[in-house]
Amino acid sequence: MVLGVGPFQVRIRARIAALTGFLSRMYRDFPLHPPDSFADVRVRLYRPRSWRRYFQPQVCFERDGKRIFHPFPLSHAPPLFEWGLNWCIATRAHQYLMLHAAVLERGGRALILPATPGSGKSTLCAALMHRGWRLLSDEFGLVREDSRLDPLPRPIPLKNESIGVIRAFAPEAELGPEFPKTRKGTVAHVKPTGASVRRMEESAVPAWIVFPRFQRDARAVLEPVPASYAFLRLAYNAFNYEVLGAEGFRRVGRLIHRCRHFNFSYGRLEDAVEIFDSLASAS
Amino acid sequence: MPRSARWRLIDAERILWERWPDECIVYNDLSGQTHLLNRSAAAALELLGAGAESAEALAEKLAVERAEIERLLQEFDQLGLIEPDE
Repeated sequence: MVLGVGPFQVRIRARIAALTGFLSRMYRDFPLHPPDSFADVRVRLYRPRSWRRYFQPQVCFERDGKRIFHPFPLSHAPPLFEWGLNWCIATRAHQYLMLHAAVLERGGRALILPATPGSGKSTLCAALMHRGWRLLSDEFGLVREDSRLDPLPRPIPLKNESIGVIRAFAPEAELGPEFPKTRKGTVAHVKPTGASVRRMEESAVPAWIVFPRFQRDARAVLEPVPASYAFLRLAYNAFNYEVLGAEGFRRVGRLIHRCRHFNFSYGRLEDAVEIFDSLASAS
Repeated sequence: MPRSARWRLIDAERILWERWPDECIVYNDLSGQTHLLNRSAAAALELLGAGAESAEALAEKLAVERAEIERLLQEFDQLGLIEPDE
């Protein structure tokens, strides 16, 4: 099948029941293109033929006929697909400056949440998506030449205790199955909201760059940061800043000039939602 | 470094700038590296972009100790941002 995901068409070949079930649930709102359509990304997941398949069945990920990654346990085919697709995009889509960030939109303006360890980016992103923000992406800030951000809505992977946090915070959130004992612990995906998928051809204007930091029980504090600090953090956190060279520098520079930049520490999702809502309505 | 040595920006067209009141960031397209400069370093590099200068002349124009300018020039040279003017 050829799946339309944001600006990309992804050809997926797989005969793995767990993956088929995952795709038909998590991607059910996404457009399907005719099988002979052009595909930007071509992947195949398959069970390797070895004696091990009788005892510890595994799954491999292939792009353009070439295997990448070590095999995963067969039951982890869905997270392998998600990580593999991230890898395919991050290593190929150099028409964009690709920020490693969650991006959400309200009123046509985009909030960029760069990913750093301990930021709680995906949890925050899932929470905002269920409080009226449109998901552009949980993983990629796709910055065009004109500085607008293109959407790439995909299931949001939550890890470990974040799964319970989002179940409690947004009971309406549709979560996929839990995958225990992955390399990142237990992982479960949150399905993008219908509005996020329906509007995945609508780009957004960058407005805010916020570096989040989760600190248990901390008071929510949003503090402006110098432009140079935001520039360097954003550039070094991008997937392809160095690949793009001078063009990467120019795109980061334009983003910094167009956005307000903040550090944000928080301990409760409710506080975070309130602060981002007021940011969106104030300016 | 000879006292009379003069230095210039390596290639003005390949050095990109983003400026703010207290800091600036430059990108050296020849090395692919990005550098954060404070106000005095940025001012020195801008002067070297306008024309070749000696450490003595830079120290005078920027009202900075000559030893500090020499350290700065050494650092710029190591980063591939400047070259001797011959």
